[in-house]
Amino acid sequence: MTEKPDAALHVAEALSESGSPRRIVVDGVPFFEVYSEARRMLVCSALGHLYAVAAKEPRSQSEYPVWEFVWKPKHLVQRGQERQKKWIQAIAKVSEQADRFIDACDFDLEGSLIGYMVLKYACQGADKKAQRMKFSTLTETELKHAFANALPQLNFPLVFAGMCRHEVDWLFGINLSRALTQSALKASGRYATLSTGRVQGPTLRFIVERQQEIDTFVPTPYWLIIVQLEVNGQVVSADYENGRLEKRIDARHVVESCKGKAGLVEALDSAEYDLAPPNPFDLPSLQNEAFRFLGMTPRVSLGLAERLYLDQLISYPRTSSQKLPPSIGYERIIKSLGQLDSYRADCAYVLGQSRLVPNEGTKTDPAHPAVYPTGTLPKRQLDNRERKLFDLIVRRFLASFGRTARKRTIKATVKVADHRFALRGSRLIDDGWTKLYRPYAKFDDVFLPLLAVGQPALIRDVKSEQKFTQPPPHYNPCSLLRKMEDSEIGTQATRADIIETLYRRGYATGQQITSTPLASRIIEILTKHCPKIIDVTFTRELEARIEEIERGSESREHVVLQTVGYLKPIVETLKAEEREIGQELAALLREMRDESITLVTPCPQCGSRLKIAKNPRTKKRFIGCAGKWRNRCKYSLPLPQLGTLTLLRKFCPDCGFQLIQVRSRGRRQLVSCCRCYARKTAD
Amino acid sequence: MVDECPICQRLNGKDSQFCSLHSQASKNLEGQYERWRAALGEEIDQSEYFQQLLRLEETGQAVRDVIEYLQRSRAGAT
Repeated sequence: MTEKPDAALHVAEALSESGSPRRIVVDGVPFFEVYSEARRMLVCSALGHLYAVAAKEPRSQSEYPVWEFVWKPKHLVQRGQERQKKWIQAIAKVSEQADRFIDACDFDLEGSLIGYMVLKYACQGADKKAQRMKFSTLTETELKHAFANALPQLNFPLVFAGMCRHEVDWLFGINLSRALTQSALKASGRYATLSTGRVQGPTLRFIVERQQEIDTFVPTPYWLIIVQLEVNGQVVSADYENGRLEKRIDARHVVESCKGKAGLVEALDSAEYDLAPPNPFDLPSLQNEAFRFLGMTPRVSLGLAERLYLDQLISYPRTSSQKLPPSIGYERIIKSLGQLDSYRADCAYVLGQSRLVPNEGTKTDPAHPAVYPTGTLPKRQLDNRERKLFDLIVRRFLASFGRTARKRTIKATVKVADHRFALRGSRLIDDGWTKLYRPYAKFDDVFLPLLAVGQPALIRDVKSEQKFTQPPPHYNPCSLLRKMEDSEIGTQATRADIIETLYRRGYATGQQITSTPLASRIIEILTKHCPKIIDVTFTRELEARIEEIERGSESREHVVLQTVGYLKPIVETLKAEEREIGQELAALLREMRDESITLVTPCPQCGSRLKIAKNPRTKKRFIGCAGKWRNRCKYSLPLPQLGTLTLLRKFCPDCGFQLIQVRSRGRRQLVSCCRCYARKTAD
Repeated sequence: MVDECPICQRLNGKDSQFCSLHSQASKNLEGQYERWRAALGEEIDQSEYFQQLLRLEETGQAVRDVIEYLQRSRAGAT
């Protein structure tokens, strides 16, 4: 059993003696029939997680706290999981005839858990006798090897670590999110999904705190001295040696004393240093480079990398390793990649080097090596984004085998009056690995004229420029992911999804992440009522304990019990203060709702505010004027009656009226100017 | 002292007339005034300081709110 259907086909093809497995369908679920050494095998797949944590006793969705849980088929816990139900039933039916089970899910925490749950529950306790295939690529050679050398049993510590992570996350999520949602519901009478979680809370705190730093930032002035020097008949820019000046009077003094003066080259310093080749990609560095050079969010790059993995083009991407063991076959991969025109020259260059050793980083992963191209060539036309990501991975792989590059820098110190200015130049004297990692590695040479100590240098222009200190930058999806990684919260598998959840819940907006008023208020409330929830300390400690379970030195039950012990007083406090919390949230939700139905454009007839309203009799929605009661203004505009309306911060290019977006399921979203529409229909 | 921040109507802190965000903005505003005076090397009165900050895009939104509130309060007092 594999984790996903695509992987099942690759496994079946690799294990089939004929090379072409027969696809059979059992109750609408595909299986692949394979004969190997005269034994009949069926290769099937899960659909990701088929089982989920749920409350032990069926209770109302609003009840909390909830401490007792069980694992249940996902279709009994979540809506819209009919396909998953069919899958479980078909696997259960087929498994009755099986005498041997092999788990071929991805060899990590999530994959191990997916396989275990299906074997245990759908295959009537087959987890105890199942074998485990361990592989990092879906290539035929590796799959055959993994099958022939299947581990005698499942990796139970990894399974229990996975279970524990899901269970503690469920305990956090269900209790805290219900506490917030129910508090707001009881106080306002309106339902709004308000969530927080073990990792989500501290992550939200990062962006809210950064937003507050930006919002309370007071810039202060400083001055830079801008100098143009003429040396050897060439005009070059130089930096004032002391950098920025904090006082205007000092800047003026430097300018006055240097104006029209001649200086001398006082010293020349040159240095050469090595630029080591980059390490092979672990997932965070892949996501970082994909964001930097290709503009892909971490979630997008992970999704694309998984597609490339399922196409056998790259190794398993969810890895924290920066190591490439020789067993992957460096030469074979590079030779194979060399068949592609775009890499031919670079592969020949790498193979022509005297030694083939990648510049490995320090990070390791017990289950997988770093991300690398398998050497399998694309069998289908990759789409634009897949092609770009594949190119980045291939070039990074090749660059990690490159020679060390070397850079020379020159600094000339020019003395004018009592002040010193620095001329800086730099040049790559040996491009080494950098030429394998183009266009991603780019070093611009800065040339200086020929210089000698004692040479005259004329000041052609000197001026001071007033600047202001800058606020800290907003987080972007990638820098936030790095912050989570540095704070040791979340995992490679979950971080990108948690960031996405912050957007979905309306806590964050934009690529330069801005926290919304809702996010600030949630953090304010949590800080006031239960600061432990948004403190990274417990989450970080919990990650360490889960790693201990993975290593077999801690028990899952112990960690879950500790989590309950930690959470209980927090949830009890939230429950006791439900009324106060609810009032605070309700006020915010009212403000947000009011904002979401009030137009920025004023009424063209009386200048009052325009609002989206509903006719109480016909139930039809329209734009009406709030001045109706005050000055009897009857201005109104029609609105589409179907779909979700959003007031955009964009205005009609023809009449300047605020634009409205209409979204309805199965239809293209529509952006419309209600005023122009009303005029056209009136004409 | 009233319970609500006069700028955003949220609950104010114990030692400030503002909420925590506007209180921090107010502290920063006050704290950086001396740096501005030292940097410019001449007397810059508070209203000129406020005007300059309102012109700069680097100035935080909460700081702008506080400046505008102080300006309104002073205009009201005169």
